[in-house]
Amino acid sequence: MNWGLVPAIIGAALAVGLSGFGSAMGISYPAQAANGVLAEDPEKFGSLLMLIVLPGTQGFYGFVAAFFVMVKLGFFGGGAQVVPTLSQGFQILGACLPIAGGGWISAIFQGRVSAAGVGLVAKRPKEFMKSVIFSALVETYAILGLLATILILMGIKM
Amino acid sequence: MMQHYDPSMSPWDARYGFGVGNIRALETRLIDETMLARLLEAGSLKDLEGELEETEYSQVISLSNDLQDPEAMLQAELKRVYDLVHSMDPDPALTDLFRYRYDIHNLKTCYKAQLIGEDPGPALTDLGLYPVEEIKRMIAEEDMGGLTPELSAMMEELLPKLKDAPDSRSVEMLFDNAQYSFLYAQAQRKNNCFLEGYLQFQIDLINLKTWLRIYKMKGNRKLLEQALLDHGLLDREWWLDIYGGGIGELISRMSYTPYSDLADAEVISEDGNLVELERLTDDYLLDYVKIVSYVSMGVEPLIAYILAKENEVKVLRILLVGKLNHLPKEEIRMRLRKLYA
Amino acid sequence: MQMQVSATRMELLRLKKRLKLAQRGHKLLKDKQEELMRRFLELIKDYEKLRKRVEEALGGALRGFLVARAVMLPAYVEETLISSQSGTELDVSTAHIMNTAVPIFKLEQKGDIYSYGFAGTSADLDQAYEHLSDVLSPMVELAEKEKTIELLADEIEKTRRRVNALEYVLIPSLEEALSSIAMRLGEMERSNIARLMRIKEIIRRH
Repeated sequence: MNWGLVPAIIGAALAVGLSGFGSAMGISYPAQAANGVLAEDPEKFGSLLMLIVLPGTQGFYGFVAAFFVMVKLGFFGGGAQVVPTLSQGFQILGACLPIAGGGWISAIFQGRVSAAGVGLVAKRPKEFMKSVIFSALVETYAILGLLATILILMGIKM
Repeated sequence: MMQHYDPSMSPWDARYGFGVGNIRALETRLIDETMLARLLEAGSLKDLEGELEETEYSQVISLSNDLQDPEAMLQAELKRVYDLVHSMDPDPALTDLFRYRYDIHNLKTCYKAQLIGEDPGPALTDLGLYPVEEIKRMIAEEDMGGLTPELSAMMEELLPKLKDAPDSRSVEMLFDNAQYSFLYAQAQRKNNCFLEGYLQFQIDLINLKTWLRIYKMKGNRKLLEQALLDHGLLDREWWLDIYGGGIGELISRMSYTPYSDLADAEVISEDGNLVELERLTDDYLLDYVKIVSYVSMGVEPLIAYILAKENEVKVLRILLVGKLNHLPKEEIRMRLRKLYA
Repeated sequence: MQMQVSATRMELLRLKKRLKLAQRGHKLLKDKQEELMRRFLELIKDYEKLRKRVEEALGGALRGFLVARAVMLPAYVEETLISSQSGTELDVSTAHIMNTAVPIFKLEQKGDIYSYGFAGTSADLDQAYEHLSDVLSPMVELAEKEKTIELLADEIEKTRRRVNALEYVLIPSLEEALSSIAMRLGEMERSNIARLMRIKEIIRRH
């Protein structure tokens, strides 16, 4: 019996689960605030939507990372074609951590920035792009996390 | 001058998402300086009414009987704002404080009226959270059980002190001090640095005005001691110490406090007009409230909105009462406060 | 008016005395009237000045309340008016102007006029209260002057009526009665003389 597959799959699950959890929270903040704004001013829906979806990207990044793990393990050729050793399995788990942690935490903080952005858009609709840029700055670190995850995954010899 | 509050000290409270978003949208409808200038320039009541129709007041303007009775309109608007904020606040302990102030006023008025056996009548306000009749009954029966535990604790503590009060002014001053102590204690209980800071700031400014008013009436130290409020940044000893020294002493000592700007503003002088100082202190408080725009989630923007609206109503009252009674434009302008928007 | 008098020498003397008295009374009353008039006009002048001052001060006080009402919640202004811890005492005595009793009011204000707390009230209210308290004593003075003027006007009217009665009724009718008595007496004298002359003639013919 080979235990290598277990940490690898836990890694993929963490990447999707944690960054998804972060994204969900991150979206909820600006979404609540946006509801408040829309209650008074329904015309702002378009620009508010942009701010709300920004923290949602981390969830996708997590999914992409999990996808790469699955490719690595050959899941798409009918079950796990490649069975990693225990050491390789832990390497894959480690590779997943940058996006799992980075995505989770950055999504929550991005949500806070976006929520503040919602306040700005409510008061000054013209400054909308600026608040999107601020929010996107937080995004950078989720992207770096994803990049690190992919690069590490590619470097693991099977 | 108000470094003692840093907006980042306010905790992120995600329950306030909807409320804050709502407030941010509502803030855009506050009357701004341009609107105020237009209102001030309006030649006739008819024009004034037309301008007001373009503001949030269009919903309540019909209550004012063609602006002949602006008070009905203004109080309806205040009530609407209190109710609105109450409805969007998941934990209204702090935003309700602003209405408890009116309840405390009613309690005070009923108590005073009962002392001399008169009907408090028009001196009561229905802006509080408790019905006026209920307050009357509470005072008559000395039964504070119907109030919230905090408020009734305040009254239980206050009542024995009131019994020893020699005259009606002492009664009032006891009530005033109890009210501010109560508000401050509630802000502390809820760990709200913003409101705590606001109250300390307000208490100091009230003490400053009281000091000057008593000084101008040539009141004695004992009166000042009774009239000063507790919990300011400057304690009562500070104010009492300089009372003998006169206005010169006050100004020089104030430059070492957070209120040095006020000391420099040349509104405090032997013959200075307190009207100007009252306007300035209100403006200073509003400046403090404005830093809340850095708080993106929490109860602070809701409190700030209430304060902004209260200020707006005050400005409108000055303007409308002035216009109705044909006060000269200058006399109105010198009393107009800054606006939040 | 025709006086019913008996045309006797005694009556003539009596009437002459009365006339003299009436004339002296008339002169005195006339003097009194003039003096009253002078005082009256003086008072009116003072009164007008005072009235103007009071009206201005009252206007100021009311405007103070108006402004206080503009910067405070009206209920808060009402509340300060519920009770007062200052008392006023009004002392009323009388003085005499030309025998006319006029009132003198003396006002004494006690206690503090500011019977409210400071935290919830505006300095505008202090000014309004101060104005009102300042205007109280001129107002009482005004009342005193007004009453005095009223009483004096009454007295002037009465005196004028008396002077007129003396001047146009009593004195002329006394004078008329006197002259008619004098005429009657003269006539009687003359008829007496005529009778005597006739008697003398009759006696001489015999």
